[in-house]
Amino acid sequence: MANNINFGKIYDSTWWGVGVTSNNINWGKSYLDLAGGGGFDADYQAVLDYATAQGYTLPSSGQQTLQNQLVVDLKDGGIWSKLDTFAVFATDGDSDFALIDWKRLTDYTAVNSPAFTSNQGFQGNATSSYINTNFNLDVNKVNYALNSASIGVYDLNNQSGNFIFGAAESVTIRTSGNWNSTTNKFTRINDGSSGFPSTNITNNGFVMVNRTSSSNLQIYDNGILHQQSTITSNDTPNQNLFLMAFNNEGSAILHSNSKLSIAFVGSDLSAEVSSINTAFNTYISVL
Amino acid sequence: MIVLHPNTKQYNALNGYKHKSSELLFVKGGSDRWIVGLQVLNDPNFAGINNQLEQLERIEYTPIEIIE
Repeated sequence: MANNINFGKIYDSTWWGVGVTSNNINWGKSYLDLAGGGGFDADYQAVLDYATAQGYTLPSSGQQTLQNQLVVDLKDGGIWSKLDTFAVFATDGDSDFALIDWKRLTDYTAVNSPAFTSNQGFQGNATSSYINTNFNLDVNKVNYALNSASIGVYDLNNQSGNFIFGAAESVTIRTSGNWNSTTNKFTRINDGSSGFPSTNITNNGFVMVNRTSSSNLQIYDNGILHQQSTITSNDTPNQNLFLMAFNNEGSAILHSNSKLSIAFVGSDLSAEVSSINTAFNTYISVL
Repeated sequence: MIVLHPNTKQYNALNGYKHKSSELLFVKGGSDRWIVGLQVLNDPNFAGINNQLEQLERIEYTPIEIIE
C-alpha cells in the first residue's frame, strides 16, 4: 500500500490491539519528510530540550529544521556515531545555545569574549579569547583514539597566523591545528611533530585533520585530501581541546582570529570526509 | 593593539569569573604580563564586573614568541 500522506514519525513497531497479528504495511522511514512539523530526530530534540532547560534562546523554527537535517545527514552518512563532541556555532539562537555540545549535552566555555556573530559563529581576537571545549582528549574520549582520530572545523576566517585548535600534554603528546602559517605549521594528532602540512591551506571552509593508523596522518581541505604524512603517534593528550588557541599544558597561548562555525572531535573519518563536507556546506550555505 | 592588564589585586579579584557559558581568564602576553582583550568590556555576560574591568591598565600588546 502506498503511503502518500505525511503521518509524522512512524515508529518501528506499533501495537495494533488484540487479535491483530500483522499490519502488512511497509510505512518506510517517513520522519525525514517532516520539515518544520515537529518529529525531530531524537538527538536533535535532546539539544533543544537541553537548551530550553538551561534558559537559552533557541534558534528560529526554520533553523531548527535545518539543524535537524544536519543531524539526520550526519547519521545517514554514518558520521554521528563516530563523533565524541560536536558544536554548531553558526546559529540564530543566542551565544549560549551556540556553545552547546550536541553530543554530550554540556557547554563549551567562551573564554575572554570571542565575538559571536549570528549565523556565523565565534571569532577569536588573536590575543586572549578562545573557546574551551571542556573535552579532554584523553579522559573524555570514546571514539577518538590514539590511532583512529579526527578533528574538524568550519572556519570562515582562515588567516595566516596561529592556532585554530590545540591541546598539549607535553612536547611529544600534542593535537593541534595550524595549517596556514609561514613559521607555525604545527598540525598534529597525538604526536609531537612540526612542519605539517608543508604547504599551507589558505581556503576558508571545512578542514579536517585525521589519523588512520600509528603512522598515517592526513589533512583535508573542503573534503579533498591536501596532504598526508607518516608522522607516528605517541599518546592522546590529557588536556582539554581549545579552539582559536593552543592549550599548552593548561595555558592558552598563540591565539588566532579564526571565525569558527562548526567543530567536532571523533574517530577516523577519512571515509566520510566528503559526506561531512557536503552536510556542513548544505547547512552553512542557507544561513 | 591595546589590551587590559591587571595588577595583582585586580587579577585575584577577577580571574576565573564565570557567568553562564562565559569565563574571564587572563593570559600571558609576550611581555610576560597578564592581559585580556578589550572585547571583555562589551560582553553582556561580564556586565557584573564591568566597572572593575574598566579600571584595568591599558597597555600595548606584545605578541608571544613561537614555542618551538
